[in-house]
Amino acid sequence: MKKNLYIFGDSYFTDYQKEVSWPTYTTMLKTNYNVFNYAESGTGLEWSLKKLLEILSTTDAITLKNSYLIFGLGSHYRFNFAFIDPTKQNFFGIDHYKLFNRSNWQTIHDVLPPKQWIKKFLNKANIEQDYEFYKKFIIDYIENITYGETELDKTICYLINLLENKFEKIFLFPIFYSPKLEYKNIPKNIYINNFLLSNIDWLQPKEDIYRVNHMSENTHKIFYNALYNLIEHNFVMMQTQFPTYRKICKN
Amino acid sequence: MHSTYNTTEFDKVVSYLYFFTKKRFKKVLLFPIFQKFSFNLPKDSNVYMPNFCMADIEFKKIEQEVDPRANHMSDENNIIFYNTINNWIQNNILPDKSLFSTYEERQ
Repeated sequence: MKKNLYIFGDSYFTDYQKEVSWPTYTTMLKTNYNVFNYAESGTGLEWSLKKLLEILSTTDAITLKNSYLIFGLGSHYRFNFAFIDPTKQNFFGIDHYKLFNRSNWQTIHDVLPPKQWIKKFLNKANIEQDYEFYKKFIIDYIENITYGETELDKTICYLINLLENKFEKIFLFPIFYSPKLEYKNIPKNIYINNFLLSNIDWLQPKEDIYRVNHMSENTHKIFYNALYNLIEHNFVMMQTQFPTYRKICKN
Repeated sequence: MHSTYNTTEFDKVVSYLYFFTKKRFKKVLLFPIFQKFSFNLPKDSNVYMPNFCMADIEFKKIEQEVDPRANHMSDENNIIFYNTINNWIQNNILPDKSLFSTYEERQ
């Protein structure tokens, strides 16, 4: 009998049904598990946490206790502006990849969304807001508040306390940012991946194929096998198992 | 409610403080002030959090002009609180709400 596998996260975990260029690991997982995939592209850490809490409150505890959980730790800089559009949290135009690589920007203004972009976004939602308000909010959260320094670890610590007894096995995958705390002596059923998923993504080519989950065809196969071995046999996943396309791009 | 902030922030911070402080300090006493932690910290740890809030033992019934209520506590509770902290540091005796006068209940 297949076990249930719950998945939360962003585009690295989204179960794309259309426009795929090759078989995806999310589809391959369905041969082994009853997959309940709540990941959605463009969303952030807070969005996934909210979805998880919804599922915890509406699903039978015994069912969850016999299930596996994969939680993608997406970007905490994808703020929750769901009050503008409750159906999608989608990130708020911050140049996320530039933000991710600090060497690519000098001041915080380099990663802020253009004024025209925000105005277009707000007009789309029929809400008139002051651009300066959002700019100040974002600057405060990136530069002036402990949010950027602590939010990922705060969420991981919270998830450890929240989930320990709720699922049979729990797999946390940092995506863009590495945790700063050392997680030793945590419950044995909780696994924190030791490398960033963004380290194995495929930045090129961009035009001719749809890089579903940001992974190459080969990476999808490897990731599926690595996930299966991790879930079933507790084999630790290593970045060296994967092609590193980022290095190829740089060269 | 669209954000989980109100429901998770306190628990996130306490969870974080537990992991952040437990290897940096010999002993850590985390006192909840207005709300309780939703989870239980490991009992064999050097980090401890009482199961009552500071607000439970505050002194609310005396006019501020008469008594400045330092730290929102009566003189009596200030001394008890000092002894509580001292007993935990020196002798690992856990803080107990029943040691304190609860002025709210006396009215």
